[in-house]
Amino acid sequence: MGADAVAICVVTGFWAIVAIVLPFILGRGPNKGVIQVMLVITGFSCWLFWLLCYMHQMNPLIGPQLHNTTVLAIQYLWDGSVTIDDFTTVAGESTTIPTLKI
Amino acid sequence: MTTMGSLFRSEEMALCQLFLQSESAYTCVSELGELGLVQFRDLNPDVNAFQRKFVNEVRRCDEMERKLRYLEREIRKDGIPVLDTGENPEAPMPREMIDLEVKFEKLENELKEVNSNAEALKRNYLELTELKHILKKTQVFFDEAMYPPNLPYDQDVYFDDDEQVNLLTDTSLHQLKHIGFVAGVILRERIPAFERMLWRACRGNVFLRQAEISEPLEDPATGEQVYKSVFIIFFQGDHLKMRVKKICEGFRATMYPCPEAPADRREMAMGVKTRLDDLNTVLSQTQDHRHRVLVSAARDIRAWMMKVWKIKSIYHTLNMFNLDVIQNGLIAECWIPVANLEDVQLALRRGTEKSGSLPAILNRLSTQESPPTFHRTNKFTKAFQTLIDSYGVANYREINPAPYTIITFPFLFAIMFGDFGHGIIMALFGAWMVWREKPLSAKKTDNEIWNIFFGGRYIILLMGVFSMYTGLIYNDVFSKAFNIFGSSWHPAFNNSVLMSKELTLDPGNKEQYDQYPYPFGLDPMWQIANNKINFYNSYKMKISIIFGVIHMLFGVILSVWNHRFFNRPMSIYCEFIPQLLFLCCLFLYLILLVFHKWTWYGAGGDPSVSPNCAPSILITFINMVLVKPYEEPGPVCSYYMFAGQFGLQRFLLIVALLCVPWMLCAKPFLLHRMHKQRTIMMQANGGEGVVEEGGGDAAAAAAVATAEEHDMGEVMIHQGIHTIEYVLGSVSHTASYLRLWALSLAHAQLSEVLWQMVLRIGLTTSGLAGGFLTYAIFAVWAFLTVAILVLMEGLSAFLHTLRLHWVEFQSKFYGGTGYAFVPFAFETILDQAENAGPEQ
Repeated sequence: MGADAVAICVVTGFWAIVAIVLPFILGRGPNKGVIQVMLVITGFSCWLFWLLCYMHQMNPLIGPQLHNTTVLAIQYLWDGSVTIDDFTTVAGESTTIPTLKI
Repeated sequence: MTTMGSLFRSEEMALCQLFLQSESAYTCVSELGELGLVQFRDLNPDVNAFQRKFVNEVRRCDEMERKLRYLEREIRKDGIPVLDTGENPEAPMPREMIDLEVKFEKLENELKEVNSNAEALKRNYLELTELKHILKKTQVFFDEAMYPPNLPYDQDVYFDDDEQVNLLTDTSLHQLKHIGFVAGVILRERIPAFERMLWRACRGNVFLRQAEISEPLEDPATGEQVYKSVFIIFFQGDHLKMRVKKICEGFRATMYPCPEAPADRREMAMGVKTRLDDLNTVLSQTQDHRHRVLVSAARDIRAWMMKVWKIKSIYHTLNMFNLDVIQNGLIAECWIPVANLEDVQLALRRGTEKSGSLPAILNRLSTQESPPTFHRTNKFTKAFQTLIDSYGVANYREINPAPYTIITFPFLFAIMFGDFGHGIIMALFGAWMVWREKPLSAKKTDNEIWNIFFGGRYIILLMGVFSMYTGLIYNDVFSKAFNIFGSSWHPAFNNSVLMSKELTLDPGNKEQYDQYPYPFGLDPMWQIANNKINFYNSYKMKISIIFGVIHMLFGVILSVWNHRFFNRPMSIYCEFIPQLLFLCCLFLYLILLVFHKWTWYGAGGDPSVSPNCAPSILITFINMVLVKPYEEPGPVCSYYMFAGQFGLQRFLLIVALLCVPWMLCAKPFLLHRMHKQRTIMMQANGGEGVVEEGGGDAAAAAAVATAEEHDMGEVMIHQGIHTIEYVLGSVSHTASYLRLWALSLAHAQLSEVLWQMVLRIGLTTSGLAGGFLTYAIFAVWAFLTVAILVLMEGLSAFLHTLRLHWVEFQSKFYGGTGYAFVPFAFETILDQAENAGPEQ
């Protein structure tokens, strides 16, 4: 089960407050019933929406398929596993082309 | 849920009878109109409108309204702004009506008089102006006759006509005394025909000179500017004079007496000038007076209009009452919400106090008739209630879907519209309309589209806010993804592998996948993946079905409250329970399978739960319904997801199938038995009373029995329809919720196309030219985003969400065959009259 406890607790806790705690605090006045219903439905459906997204990605059955150029960009920009030193420059027709050292 | 005055159920209504004294009827109705909580019934439906009691008063009101509209038109013609103080004047007493009538009559007469005076003055002004022009131009003509010039030079100044015959020569001067002339003014466009006619009729023996008047003159009748020309015709003899005069009249040329002698002409010209100056002064004074009258009327005209409308509506209402001759009063029947009976009593007391007569009596009647449906809404809930009522007004006191729709509607919309950027645009638009509510609603426009948008401002605001949330979960901002928490996928490939064009990450590889997902929403890696559609499809289809089944289950459960309220325990056992079981055994089980597959199967672990062993849920479900026989597990993969699945599926299928005859037959069977027992009891009682009533009772019992037979057929048909509708509907409606997936996919793809094909062109052009290009292309991209993605897609998703609510959700519990409560309220009447006003 690939799940991260922190994320689950934070999000579930937030929507639990919206759906369970807030109706008692905000449910005042002539529109008490409507406000409570609104909060409960909001809390439940938003939490469920997040949960379904989380559970679908917990144990993925397929992985993303990427272009090698995209992979290179990600390694350089996000992961930092490729740095500028991994490139040499090769003279091209009109410009110099950075090329990966293999 | 059943508290009084709540939105969950429509209010309890009471049919009441009002006894009003004749003197106080008017004021009481006026007070009730201000209160706006009473719906009167027409007690004289067969009576012609012209034969009702208060038809004269209504006619007088119509007259007053006509006069006021005339005043309004005149005010608007002069461009005077009408002041709207927002005050709400009370309906005046009947005796004050005469004062109002007199006042309006006076104003109308004054205005009419001023207008006719102005018209006469203008006509006079026109005549004098034409005379002035004639005197000026004929001076030239006479000069020429006296001193004939060399023709070529001087003539082309005044006319360009070749048909002019010059009868005058040098030698004919002394004959001038015998030559008569006629001077006048004619419309410029009639001159050619005029000349031809003169030439033909007088056989060329007349001499016409004409000159154009350079500035246009105002026609007093129509007020438009026309161009005219001065002409003078010379002729000899009375015969020709008569002919010329007739032709001038035929062409509607106005003739003026022009003296021959130049001295006389000069005197006349000066006289005309002074008269023109005087006329100008008088005219401007008249206009000022008219303006003053209109300005003073403009201050009060709104209040007067409102008063007249109120009086008229009161008399229309009074026409619906019955006359009680015995007690010299009026009887009215009306629907009143039970919660407001006190307020109505207070209003009646106020009314009777004002007119100083006996108090009015309010009696509550009991009736078998179905009362109107009244939902007490505020400005926020009104829009959602309107959405529900558009499909069908709720039956009296049944569960109102509106309070739940407040959130489910924007939420289901947001599932289809999920884009953070577009959501921001929509939310900002809605927020602006809500923030500037008061000034925007004060501006009354005819623009239908704006009124629709403004009426739904709270809906738009909520839709935008929820779309922002679903946009964050879908991780879609104008087709780009946020990477806030760091992606869980890492393309940990070494450089040699990178030579192949396409690389796929393996979820089982701990270096490539962190083994726990992106904490909030979809991983940003998917937005740039080639196979993202695959992944998104499976995700969005699943959530569509899950939300759909939950929505429908909610609808089925709501029906329990209706059954309990209307005291129908049989419906709970014969309809609700089998419906619930059917839905849960098939579709709730489907959802549980989805959850199981999500948690049980994954990569990188036990090979029997690896991705290539994961069975398709759709195939599993289909095989369950088609009763496929048990399949032995393979060497690695098992066909089944958990132990005992085969047995469980068979069991659930049998339960679901049993629910169908349960829904179909249980209720008719029980009803039949109940009626049988009742007829037996009635026959037993009838047998005892046979001595008194003879065969009548037995015949009645027999009639009742046949009526029951007939009813049984109807009940069976009704129940059959209900069952088929539910069973087939549950399958088709579940599939119908897949539109949540379809529209979401379309929206995402459109957004991506717009980015790739439009904005990217500017972003990928380098250098200074790229900057300018981006600036221009951004305008195109922004326009297309708002027009196609926000407006068109928004409208489309709105429509689909509406359909999902109206059909898939409401068919599980809603009746929707009631009629709305339309109270007699001055507010609504004034609004309607104002909106109808400008069209008249």
